[in-house]
Amino acid sequence: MGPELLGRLVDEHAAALVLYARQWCAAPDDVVQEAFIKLARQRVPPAEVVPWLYRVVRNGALSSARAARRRNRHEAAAASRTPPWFVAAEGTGLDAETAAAALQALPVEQREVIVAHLWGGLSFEQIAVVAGCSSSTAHRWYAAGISALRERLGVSCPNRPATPK
Amino acid sequence: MSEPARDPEVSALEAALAGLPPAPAGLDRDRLMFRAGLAASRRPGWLWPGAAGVLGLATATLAVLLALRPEPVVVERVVYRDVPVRVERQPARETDEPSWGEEAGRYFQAREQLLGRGLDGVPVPPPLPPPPALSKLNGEL
Repeated sequence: MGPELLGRLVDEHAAALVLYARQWCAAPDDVVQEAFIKLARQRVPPAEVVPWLYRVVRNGALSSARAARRRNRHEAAAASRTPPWFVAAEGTGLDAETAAAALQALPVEQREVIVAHLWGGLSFEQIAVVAGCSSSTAHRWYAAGISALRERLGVSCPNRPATPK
Repeated sequence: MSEPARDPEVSALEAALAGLPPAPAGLDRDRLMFRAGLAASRRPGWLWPGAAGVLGLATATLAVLLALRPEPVVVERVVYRDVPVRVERQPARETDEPSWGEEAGRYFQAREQLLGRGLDGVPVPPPLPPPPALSKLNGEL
């Protein structure tokens, strides 16, 4: 894999991958970095690079979370000081911190599917391969998570067309 | 997979969520690219480790076979072979022949006569010279 393609993948997917890894571990940057290095080490690039990266990041994040649980309290306290998940953006009608808090309140499997689909751009079939479930299960988790977010955030469509009376 | 009919409020929420950009990754891009290049150049090659493993295994196998080899049985057998012998006939030297003198010839001749004809065959000895006079002997004494 050439450096140009690798650099483009870093630029386009690193932030979403870090958000994805953040669902499990407190050091997502290291996990994502190791995933890119592992990708560079591949003699034959994977057929679908982005789902491959998500799968590697998922495995790395789960391993990192397991290792973090074994560490002492000091490191756990340091890890708990997590940076914000999103950057505040105007025009979305959502507060970044509120959205992150609502997302964090979801079960991890729902969070994983929502992050992979909305910010990672993966299809439900690709998410099913990454998460090791069926695509219908992935879709069901996604729908349940979106429904829960809708209730927590109380968001109504800002561009919702006026309902004809 | 066919998507079910979407609730517009759900679609709006999805759009609003997707519009929130994730916080930028805290990756050092240059450092990442350097490490990736380093990792790409250090791909593990399996040729030499594999060859070393095969050779090591072969060496160990041969060592075990050598240690467990039974002692060779020594069989001694006499083999007769026809070997051509070169005989060189050397001319007899005269010096090897026994030299018989004239007296020996006479001896053998007398023996043949004695064995063949008995005492009659014994040749008559030549007459002895006359003994000196007795008086002459007494005078000399």
